[in-house]
Amino acid sequence: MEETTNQNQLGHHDDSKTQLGFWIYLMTDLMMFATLFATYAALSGSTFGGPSGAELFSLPDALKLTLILLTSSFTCGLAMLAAHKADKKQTIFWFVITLILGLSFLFFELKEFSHLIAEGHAWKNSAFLSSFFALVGTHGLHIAVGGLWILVALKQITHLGLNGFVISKLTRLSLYWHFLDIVWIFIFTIVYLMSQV
Amino acid sequence: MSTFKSYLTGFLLSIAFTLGAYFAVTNQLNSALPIILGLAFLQLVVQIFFFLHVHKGADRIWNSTVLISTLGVVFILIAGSIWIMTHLNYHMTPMQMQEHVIKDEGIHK
Repeated sequence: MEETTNQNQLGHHDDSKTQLGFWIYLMTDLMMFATLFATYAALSGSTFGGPSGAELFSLPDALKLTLILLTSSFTCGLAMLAAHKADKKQTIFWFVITLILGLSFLFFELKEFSHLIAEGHAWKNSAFLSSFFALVGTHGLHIAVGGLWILVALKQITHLGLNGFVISKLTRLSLYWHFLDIVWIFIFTIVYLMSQV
Repeated sequence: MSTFKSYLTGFLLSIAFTLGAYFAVTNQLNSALPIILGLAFLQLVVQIFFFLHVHKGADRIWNSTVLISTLGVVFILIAGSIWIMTHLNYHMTPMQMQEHVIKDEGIHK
């Protein structure tokens, strides 16, 4: 209980070590994505006689996914602005919007995946497809975990209010969410756009 | 600290870069590849400054240092992997396709 009280008194500026630690974790996550990108770069040409990305990917669908996620990154920023202004209702509102956008992203992405698999282009059908599903699937898994985290954060805001402890957690959540959008920029560019170039 | 203006600017710039890259490809511009890569890196910088605010805050030196060192590792990882795999691909092609290797390297029997 003593610990909780102290954490509740944590000012945003007192937890910079926590934020740095989380940032370093995000950097290791970036390195993991880098290996998945390198693998995709090496294997994207190995289609085992099957269709390449140019034939399989729908660029308008990919653009839709990109704009949805980008908007969710923006609304996440708006949520943090509201949190720093101690506006509980607005914070919850913008995080709910962010969650809805994140879930729509997952919905459309899973639709694309199931369509590919139904047509016989699953991860086991070629090295290109394996590396594609590994890279894009890992990103999607991160988004799903982020969505779960937003749900937990919403509950914390509701029950604990916007004290220093909660804001510290929300800051890390927003770092995570912005990071995932940045990774997606490169997935959009290197996987989807470059397949047609 | 972060303001609504900075998030809005970042958002609008990111949309512009995304659409720019998309139309560069769908209109099949000749220099589409450097354009889309350039726009991706520009959007990375925009999002780092306007969304992540890496240049602000008490720990901005540490945050920026860790970010730049990670980007260095990532560059070596990706560029190095592509270099090595291309090199392996070139030298390990099956017999029938090794004609071009023999010609390129000037190997005479």
